[in-house]
Amino acid sequence: MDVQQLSVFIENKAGRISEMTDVLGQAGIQIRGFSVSDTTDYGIVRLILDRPEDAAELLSDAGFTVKVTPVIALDLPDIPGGLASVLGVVSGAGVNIEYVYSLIGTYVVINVHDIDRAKSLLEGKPVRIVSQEELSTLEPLHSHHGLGS
Amino acid sequence: MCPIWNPEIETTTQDRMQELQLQRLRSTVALAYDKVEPYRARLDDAGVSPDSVRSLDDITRIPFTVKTDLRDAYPFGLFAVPVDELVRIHSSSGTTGKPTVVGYNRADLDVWTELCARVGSLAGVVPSDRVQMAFLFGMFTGGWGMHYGLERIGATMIPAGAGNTDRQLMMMQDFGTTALVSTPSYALYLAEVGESQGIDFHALPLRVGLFGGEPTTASLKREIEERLGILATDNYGLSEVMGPGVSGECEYGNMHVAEDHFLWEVIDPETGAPLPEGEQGELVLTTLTKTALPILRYRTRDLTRVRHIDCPCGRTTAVMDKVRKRTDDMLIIRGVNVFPSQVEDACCTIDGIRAHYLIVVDRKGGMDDLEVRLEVDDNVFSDSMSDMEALRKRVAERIHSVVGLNARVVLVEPGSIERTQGKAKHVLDLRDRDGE
Repeated sequence: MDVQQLSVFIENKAGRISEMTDVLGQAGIQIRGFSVSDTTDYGIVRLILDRPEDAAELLSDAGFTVKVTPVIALDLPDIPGGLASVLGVVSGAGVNIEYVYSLIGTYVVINVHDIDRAKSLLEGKPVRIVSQEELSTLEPLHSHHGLGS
Repeated sequence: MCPIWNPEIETTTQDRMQELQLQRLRSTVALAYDKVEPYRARLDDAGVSPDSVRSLDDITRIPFTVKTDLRDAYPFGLFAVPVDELVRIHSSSGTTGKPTVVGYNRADLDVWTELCARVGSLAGVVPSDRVQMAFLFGMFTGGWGMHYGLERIGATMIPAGAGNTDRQLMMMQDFGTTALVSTPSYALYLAEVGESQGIDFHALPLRVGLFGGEPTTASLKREIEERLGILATDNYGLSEVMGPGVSGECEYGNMHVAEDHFLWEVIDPETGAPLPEGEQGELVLTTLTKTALPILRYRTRDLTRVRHIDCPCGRTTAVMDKVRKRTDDMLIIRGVNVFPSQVEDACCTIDGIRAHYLIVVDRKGGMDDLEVRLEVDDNVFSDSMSDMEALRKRVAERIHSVVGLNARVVLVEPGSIERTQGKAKHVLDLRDRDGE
């Protein structure tokens, strides 16, 4: 299944983002990556999670305005030039990227206008497209500060 | 002491004034009855014949005229003369629905000019004055009325019109402007821009301002007087009964009403009952000398007090309080009349936007500031930042085209705008907190 990204409208008020992450944390939802776009009055927080549908429901119930958008997640080789080569392939295939951000590990997310067209253009190219299931079932990483597990 | 424009009338006794008012009321009612079909029908329904108006108290038997009556008569339904006899037409903005159209024949125009000359004299304008009219012309009555009135005094008129601030300031300095006509907000704006350009207003011959279009609050008056080095005077009028010229402030701060041309009443806005002199209520005006468009008992929706006092300026005409509040929900923002329903129409007809909005009006940097908060729900929200910004821009443009003002559109989360049990409170007017 396509990777389901959650976009959340966040008013520029102190604590609003942490209220949102509290809701997710309390429900045991894992964040695989996120990006924040902001203006002076509000921001859009984009999240890749292990349980996007549950998260959408929980956040909605908690009063947040939420939208679910399918995006393409790719696995990068962890070498210098890795990102460049992947993006090169994508744009070389004529795919216009709305935005990009990175997730944990070697994954990145791109948003394109026409997902199906983009995926068919990427077929046979040296990039690995990743499914929601793969992101949902990732093993937790160990962080470097060693603060418990 | 400022010269009185028409000393015979403006210093007459109350008895003589009432005699004159009654005489004119009778002929106005007769004119409306004979020549204006909707008025005849209404007077017949109320059982009021022109002959039966024998004293000024009889006015309470006449039904009120309200704004929608003028709108419903669009365009020329209330005129007592053929349109060809009119030498001028004006109208209100009427952004939602039909505008209000008013008209003047030559005699009316002459009266109007006289009344505006009176307002000028009240403010102390004399023939040697150079008057810069930084007021909107076009279809509104404000600029035109004051232009001809002050020109009649013999002042040198500079019909600058609205906007173009740099040019206004240049003319002010180069032409030696002594009197400014504008909204008080614009006067303050001119002061700010001028100061930033290094202009020393106190060194200029500018000495008096005639402000209208919105109330001049006590603090606005103070600030304008300090920064521009002038005497700030207020004047009041409405196009439905004439335009500017209904009342004007004398050098002692009292707004004298041209009661020989407007029979005023103050009523309880809830019951319509007349209130004793000196009590605050809704101002109702009946034209006494207009012949193209006589208006009987027009409910202005403005709250004020009217009384007779011993004014040091020597005029005996009744004095009204400056209008601070309205009986309806109309706002005056930067001199523009704004109904919350207009803002609602503007934003909520855009796809996806629900009716949860809040209009926040405040004073920032001496100017009225308009902010419209819209709730972002699932319909409105888009993952694309550029879509959201485009939406915000579209709403702001729509508001501008409907209301004529620039509003700052702020997107807020659903539920953050307070819901009420009863009538939705769509307006947060933070200007009130000064208690003026």
